[in-house]
Amino acid sequence: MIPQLPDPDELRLLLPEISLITAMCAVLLVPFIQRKSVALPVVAALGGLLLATLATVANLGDYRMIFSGSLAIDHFSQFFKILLLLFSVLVVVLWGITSRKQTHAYDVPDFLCLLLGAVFGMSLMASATSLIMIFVAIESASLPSYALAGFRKHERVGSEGSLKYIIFGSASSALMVYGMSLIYGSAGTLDLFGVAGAVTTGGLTPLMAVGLAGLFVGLSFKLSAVPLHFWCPDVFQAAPIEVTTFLSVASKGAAVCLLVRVLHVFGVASMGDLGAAGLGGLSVGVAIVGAITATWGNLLALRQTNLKRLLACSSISHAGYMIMAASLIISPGRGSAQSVAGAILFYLLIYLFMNLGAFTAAAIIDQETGQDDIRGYTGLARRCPTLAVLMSLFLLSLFGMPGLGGFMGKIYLMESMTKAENTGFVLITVLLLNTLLSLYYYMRPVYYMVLVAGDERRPVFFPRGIGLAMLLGCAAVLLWTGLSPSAAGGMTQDYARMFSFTRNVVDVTDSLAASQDAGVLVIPPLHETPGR
Amino acid sequence: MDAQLLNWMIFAPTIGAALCLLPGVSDQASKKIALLASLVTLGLSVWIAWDYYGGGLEGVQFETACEWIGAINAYYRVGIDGLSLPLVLLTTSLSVLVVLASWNIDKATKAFMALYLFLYTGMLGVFLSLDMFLFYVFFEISLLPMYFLIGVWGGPRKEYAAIKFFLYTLAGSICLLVVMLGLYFLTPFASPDNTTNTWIMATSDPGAVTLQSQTLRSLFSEGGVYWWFAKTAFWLTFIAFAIKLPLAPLHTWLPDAHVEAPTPISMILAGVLLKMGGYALMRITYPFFPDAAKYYWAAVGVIAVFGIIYGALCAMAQTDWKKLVAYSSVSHMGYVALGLAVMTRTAFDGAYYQMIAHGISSAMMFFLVGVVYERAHHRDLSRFGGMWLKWPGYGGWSLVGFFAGMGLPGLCGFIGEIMVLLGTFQAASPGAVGENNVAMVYTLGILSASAVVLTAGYILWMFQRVYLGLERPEYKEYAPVTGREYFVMATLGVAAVVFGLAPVLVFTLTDKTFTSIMASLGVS
Repeated sequence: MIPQLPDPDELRLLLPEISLITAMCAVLLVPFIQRKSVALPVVAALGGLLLATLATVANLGDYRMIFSGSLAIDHFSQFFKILLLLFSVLVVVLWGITSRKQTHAYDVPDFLCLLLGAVFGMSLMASATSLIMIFVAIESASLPSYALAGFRKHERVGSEGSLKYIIFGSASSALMVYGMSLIYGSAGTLDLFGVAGAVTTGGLTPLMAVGLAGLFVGLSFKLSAVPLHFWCPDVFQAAPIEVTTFLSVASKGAAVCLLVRVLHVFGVASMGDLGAAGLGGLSVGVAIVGAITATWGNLLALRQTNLKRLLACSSISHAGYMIMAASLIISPGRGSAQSVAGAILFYLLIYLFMNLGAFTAAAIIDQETGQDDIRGYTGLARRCPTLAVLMSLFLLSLFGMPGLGGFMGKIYLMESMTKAENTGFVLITVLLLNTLLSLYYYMRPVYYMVLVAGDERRPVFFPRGIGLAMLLGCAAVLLWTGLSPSAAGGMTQDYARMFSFTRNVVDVTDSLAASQDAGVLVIPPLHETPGR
Repeated sequence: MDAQLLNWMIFAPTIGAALCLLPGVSDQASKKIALLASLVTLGLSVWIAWDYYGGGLEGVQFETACEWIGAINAYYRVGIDGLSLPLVLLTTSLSVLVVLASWNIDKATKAFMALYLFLYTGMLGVFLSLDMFLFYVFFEISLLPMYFLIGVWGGPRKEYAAIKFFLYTLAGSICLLVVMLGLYFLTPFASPDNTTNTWIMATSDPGAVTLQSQTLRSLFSEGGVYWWFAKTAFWLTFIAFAIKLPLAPLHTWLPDAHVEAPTPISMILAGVLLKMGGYALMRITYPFFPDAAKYYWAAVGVIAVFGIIYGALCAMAQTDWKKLVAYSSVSHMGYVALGLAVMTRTAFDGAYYQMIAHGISSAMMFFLVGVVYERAHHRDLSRFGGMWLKWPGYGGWSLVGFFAGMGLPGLCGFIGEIMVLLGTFQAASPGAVGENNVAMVYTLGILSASAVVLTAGYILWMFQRVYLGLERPEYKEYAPVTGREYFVMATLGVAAVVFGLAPVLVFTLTDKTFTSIMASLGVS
């Protein structure tokens, strides 16, 4: 069979990824033109990111599978990509106001190239629908992240975090690849839809179960789900703050999207008949992992005194909330998979701004006072009221104070949970108890900043310029989504539409058999599901 | 009737708060802004009350409803009825006095005033929202300023008290949120088209599906499909609001919060914030789950009487003056819970009146303590005495304030207590909740009536220790009581007398609303 050349239309849909790759090359080539230039690589990277954003926006209406069914271009993936790309722009800006001064000029292209590489991998994660593509996406997101985590090359703690990250990452990747090989052996296809079809028709054979377990180990690592969360606090503390920000939002977000995608395919394939397909256990398993992750993350956070570690633990628990909701994608009860995915996207959107805000504020405080321990925050309300108020606002939003975005994010998650009746109410209870638990550690920095009187002689300072603008922007988004969430919530609901196939199971098995006969992968034709 | 009037009233304090925070506003100016904002809000509330009176005192008036969050069918829905109006008037009038009482705050005055005004909007929002989701948002938002007001301006153990207050109330809110999501899930089964989720607690719109609709009621009644939910939800909401009320044994945040809070914050905490608990019990717990309430009336009654007696005994054992007043609140709020538990009209009226009366008397008692504390810098009851000789005028007003708290006939505290006691005994009559358990009714009635003696005991003993006897030498250094302080005392004192003599002032406003609530509860 003649290898099929990609059709130009498919390339058009890949334009965001292509522009990222181009920008990576450009960033690396810049030193040949002008050595020690900082501005040029930054401009190239930002240009690449913005170009990719524009390309994604231009493709927003498209709805198809490309590259022999290994990438799904749909609203869900495109929306996440836009979020990811814009967030990466902000991360570059954050880097500009924090770590740039400590970075040697000849390190700048490396840093930006790694960042773009990770973004590239993450944007593939949101679309991947074949096992190979999932692996490639996860790896191309992870490898640059390992290097980024250790980017403070002269500090031991940076190398330590990075090494921990690599060891954990490669071990879980190995398990994932092994699982994928078992899945392939059992289902005879690498296509996610085909795998799901094989599970629903052939049942969950032991081989398949072990294979799926391997796949979910890989996902859990990226999600930092318990028990694969150990790397998270160390890496987050060791990495430069803009990398921490990037990993806490983008990396987790991409992993959540991938999880949603995988579960969605299984949910559609089972066509609501979970018992017969043996998928009920999958849904419950994911829910349990989510609940444990959320609870464990919160328990870990209770004892943290380093703000970056605290936020790392908080990000574990937030990932747990999203995993809990994602478990309902398979069986959304009276709701729909789209509404659950919409709630998750909405949460992700708000989570992005909460974390960006909190980390930016922490970075500015760190710069001005040299403190990243919350006990060093004493008296901040007197020294810099603006920063204390904004930081409190971000922390309260992370906790879920009504009137701020974080609360509405949780309400949307819980609304989708109510539709799943009994399971949903168990999840809601877990979520609410966790919220109560989290109040303690989110209030601790606030307590030190506002309630404890500090040394009054220390100088007063003000956040300025771009940093202040970013903080105010994040605060504005959180207030807007907190007071009037309809617009953002409706948008995420609309953009949560995902690929699913509507053909019945017999067709899938037929094509599966055909593919085994011919020795090639045949992808069943796909149709978009009608909108809501 | 202009519906916008109500919205202006709710958000006038927020506008004031924003003005206080403007750069360039001095500390002195921020006090004046806060006073002005409270006066404007008071004016608006009186105007609204007048219009409500003119509007026949019936149903929900001044209603605004506009869609807020489409995805969960939440509305910005506010309005006023007989249940909320007296509490709103209490809030707005007390607020003026609280601003006057905080005139001496000199630490970060601007932030204090702004937070207080922000809290004010939260309190009004709680009393005026008719949408359960909106109610929840206001209920929680009011926690935050309180946390800072106690935590920054409080006494030595302020941090501990502030976070304890926050955690306790938040735990309650979370119980409430579970019930809310449950109701949200169940309401479609009660609506005609089987699709409408609703959060509406009350409305003037006759076509709207409310949480008190007949269908929902039948699902939640004994033997209904969701009877189990009603029983769980009754207790969850009861716990949520009993924490706020507070009812022993869920009261332990209150003595800490009160002792550490600055005087004006104690006043507003006891005067208004505790009433949110009682109000919510009357607005949500009892009307939504009346059958569960009847089913569990005895358990609630026992908890309430335990609270009354436990609070009184604790008050008697205190050596800290402010803590004594704080525990007296626990005891007094027990009467509110008892009045609700027995579910008779008289007891309901009494419970409501008790809230208004306690709002006046406890605010006054805390202020009276604050006046001395500001000068003496301690509150140890064993180190006082002869205060009457030092300041006869202050002593006179103290007599009014503390005796109003004690429930002396002719003062406001008496009416509420006596009506709750009468109503409790009525619960043994045919058709009432206790008709098959007369022994329980009488036990509760007799125990709560005898607690009045305990109340008299701790108040009189305290009065003796502080006011009677010979003047102490250290009093010489105390600054005289100012005119501003006398104004606050006199206003509250006159109110205590007026509401002790003319309960009709409150009952005129509440009568029709209460009649419809009692009818919907299905008890006489």
